[in-house]
Amino acid sequence: MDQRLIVVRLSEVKWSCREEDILVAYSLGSCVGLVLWDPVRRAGGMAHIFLPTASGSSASSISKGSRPDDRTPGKYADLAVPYLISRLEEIGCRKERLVAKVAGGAHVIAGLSSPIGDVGALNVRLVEEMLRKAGIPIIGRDVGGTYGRTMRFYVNSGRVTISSVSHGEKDL
Amino acid sequence: MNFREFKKCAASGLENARRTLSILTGRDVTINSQSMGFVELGDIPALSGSPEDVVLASYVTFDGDARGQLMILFKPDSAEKLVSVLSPHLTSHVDPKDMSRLLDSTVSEVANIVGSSVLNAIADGAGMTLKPSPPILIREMSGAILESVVATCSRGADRVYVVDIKFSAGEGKALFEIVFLPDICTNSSGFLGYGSVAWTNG
Repeated sequence: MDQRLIVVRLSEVKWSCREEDILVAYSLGSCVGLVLWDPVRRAGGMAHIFLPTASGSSASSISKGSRPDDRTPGKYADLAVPYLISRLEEIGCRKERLVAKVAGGAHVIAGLSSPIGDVGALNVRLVEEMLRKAGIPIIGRDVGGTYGRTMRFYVNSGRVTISSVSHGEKDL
Repeated sequence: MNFREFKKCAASGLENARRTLSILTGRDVTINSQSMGFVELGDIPALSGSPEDVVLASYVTFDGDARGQLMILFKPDSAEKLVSVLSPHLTSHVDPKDMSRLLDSTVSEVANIVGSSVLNAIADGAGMTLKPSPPILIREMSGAILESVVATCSRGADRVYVVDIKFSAGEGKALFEIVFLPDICTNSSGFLGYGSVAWTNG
């Protein structure tokens, strides 16, 4: 079986039920890579999340009823998580069977500050809060730190690997 | 300051930097390619080639009459080449375990010269005061650096204004690269024609 590599670029969300597919988010810095997988349907998806919320920085400001831009559905954590769940349900996944793996949210440049605070940490917090609200368990987590990560997701097995310059490659 | 004036000032700063580096290295440093314009968010991590490529980057922010961020990115082999050009006697005598420190200090020095030339030319051309921060040196995947920087300054926009210049020294291969992100949403009312720029929000 020839494997097919699908790149999930910044602010994108992609999903698949093809056993040969590998989804990859390269060089996550403050961005968060989120993988959701249904082990029964053997299908899943990945979001490359850029910022915490469309309307602000904190969990309390999650925008109600907002819809993600079709070109960049992974841009905001508060919109990307429900978007990915919906797309997976459309291909036969069941929300109650989904499991999550989360990576990224680093603070790569010491001293780099943003008007909304530590973007990486806020991204992680929002993604995890959205997963908790959706009742999806997080079964793998590699977040924070000061280094970039590449996240690969093997759709058929649910395997997720994380590689980085300073920490090599590992299974999540 | 409108876009045309900004481009003129930036070009003048880059020419200063190029001339200084040519004198410093004794080689004809040239500008390989340059682009100034809006870049889609999705294209940012691959701005400097493969996003997984490790680079040595000097990062500076500036404020004052305008704000922005300036990065000077070196591929590790380019940094070594630069050191061998600038300090040929040192590299033949240096202990390999001290090489990384030598690379870091040379890259910082070159980045300082290039960064100051560009910022000074823009400040002089626009009659502004720009205050740069002390440079921070990072060794990391280029994509992780670029996306982290853009996350702090994009303010939710789908595109950011980027000045991307690649320099080479003779053989055609890029020696280093400048990525300059002027903050057009700055508090400066004049910088880059604030108020007249079509800034797309997501």
